[in-house]
Amino acid sequence: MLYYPLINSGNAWRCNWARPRRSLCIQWAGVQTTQENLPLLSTISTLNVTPSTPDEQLVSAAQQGAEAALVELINRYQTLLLTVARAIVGQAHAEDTVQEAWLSIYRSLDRFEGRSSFKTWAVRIVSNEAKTRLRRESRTVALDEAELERPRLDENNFKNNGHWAAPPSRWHSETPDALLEETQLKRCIEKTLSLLPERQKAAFMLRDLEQQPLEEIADTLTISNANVRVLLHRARLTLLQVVEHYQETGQC
Amino acid sequence: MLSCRDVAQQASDHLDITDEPGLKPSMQMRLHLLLCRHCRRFIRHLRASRTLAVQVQQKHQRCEQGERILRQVKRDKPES
Ligand SMILES: [Zn+2]
Repeated sequence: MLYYPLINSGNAWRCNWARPRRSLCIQWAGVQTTQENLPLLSTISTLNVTPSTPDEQLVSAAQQGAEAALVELINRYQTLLLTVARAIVGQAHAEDTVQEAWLSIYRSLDRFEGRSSFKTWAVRIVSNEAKTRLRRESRTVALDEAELERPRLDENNFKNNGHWAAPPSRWHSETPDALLEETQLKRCIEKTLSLLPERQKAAFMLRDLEQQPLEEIADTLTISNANVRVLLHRARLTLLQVVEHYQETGQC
Repeated sequence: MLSCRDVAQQASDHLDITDEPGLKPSMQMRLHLLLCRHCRRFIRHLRASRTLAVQVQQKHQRCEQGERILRQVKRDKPES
């Protein structure tokens, strides 16, 4: 377990990630906050970094030089940032782009004032890094343009008058909790998620996991609002089909 | 009058609309859902599979590469 002191931000003596005084912060990392350095601080508390520590606490600890807090933020958001980068620059350059983004975050953490959440800020940084990289290398990514057009539903499902020909079948269980009990179904969903095209995956994560507004997602991925809605439609219908198929056959 | 095909086509948008506290589905949509149990079921299924996928993805969201990544950030670009 790592403990480190938290200093209130009004204190003149603040550790900065990117400045020489950091050595002093490192001296503090660890449990032993000695009597000696106590007078330097107006408020001290210790933060126990766990997967449930709120982002804001991690950010202010990281701003004061606690590396464990920054490591935890990276652990939390690396997957999300990678997904966003893949959706913009493609698989081959995503890792480098995210690495650049973390460097940018590391350098500008001091200036982060918490007007948005850390997550929103980090997504914006990785999106900007990715866009810059595209421009700099005037690279065109082979993204599937047809993916942005609204697909036609399977006509076999409907009669000519637009009514269901084959209405949605009854499921054995419909509640998410009951569905989660099905190990095989979970595997099917995992597989489907890992195979979703990059932009659909990013749209799904930003909207359905992170609950970002559509406009913000459009901006992040540099596509229109309508395009985001199409990506979501495709991703969600694919996931629905997997559950549907599993209900009928017990398989992926 | 919306057809079931139209409702299925708009089902994903419908989730976003009903998620947003300030937004309301169109009168046509509400009327159709009131009268059509098949479409109600379709939307229920769409929402349930989304929730399931979110829960599955959440379990894989965390990566334990933080230390390595931070080391590399510091090695690649020393303080300027
Ligand atoms: Zn209907």
